[in-house]
Amino acid sequence: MKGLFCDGSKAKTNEEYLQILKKRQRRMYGLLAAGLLTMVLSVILNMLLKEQVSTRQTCFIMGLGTGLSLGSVIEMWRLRRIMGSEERLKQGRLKEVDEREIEVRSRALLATAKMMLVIIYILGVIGGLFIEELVEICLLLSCIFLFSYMLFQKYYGKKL
Amino acid sequence: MRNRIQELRKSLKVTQNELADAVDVSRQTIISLENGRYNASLALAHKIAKFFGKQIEEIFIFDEEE
Repeated sequence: MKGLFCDGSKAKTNEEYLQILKKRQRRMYGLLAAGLLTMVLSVILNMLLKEQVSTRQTCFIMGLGTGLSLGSVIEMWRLRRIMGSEERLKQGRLKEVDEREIEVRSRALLATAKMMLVIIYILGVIGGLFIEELVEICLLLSCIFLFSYMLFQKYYGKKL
Repeated sequence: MRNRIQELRKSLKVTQNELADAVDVSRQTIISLENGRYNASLALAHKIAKFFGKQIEEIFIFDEEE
């Protein structure tokens, strides 16, 4: 998943990969900040808007923030561990630049996209029987997905 | 596409790990190449050919029927 937001596949040497990992680590600080802010938001909502916002919603937001914060801390620790060893750096780099691994990730992403479309469709049709808004939300998500796909296909079609 | 990677590797007494290091891929990729589950890109095929000191066509056998 990390490769989705910070591509390490261009690193030709361990030194280049180290720079990419340092960039990733800086982004993790941003993610940690976002997580902590989300937790603070949950507390503020619970204190100030207790009538308007349900406990379930504030707990959900708190959980989101906690997960984000914890995840970024774990990732930062993992990155530090990789950066501390030449061998781990090399293995980590190979895992990202290896063409077979790139192909595997690409196919996994494609399969996930197809599966998500099917799930959104099923959710919209079946879930929509119980919650009316769900049909519209799922339809909107599908449209955004397909439109983005068409856009990016055109973009990369011209670029490559 | 068939290939002679395993045959050439064993003749030079090179391990999969050593070959993987030399051509800058993971050992799993070498395994998949040798098993025929994965076809190398042109760049990788060139690196492997250079490693063995042979032409690409001598290592990778392109089957017209494929």
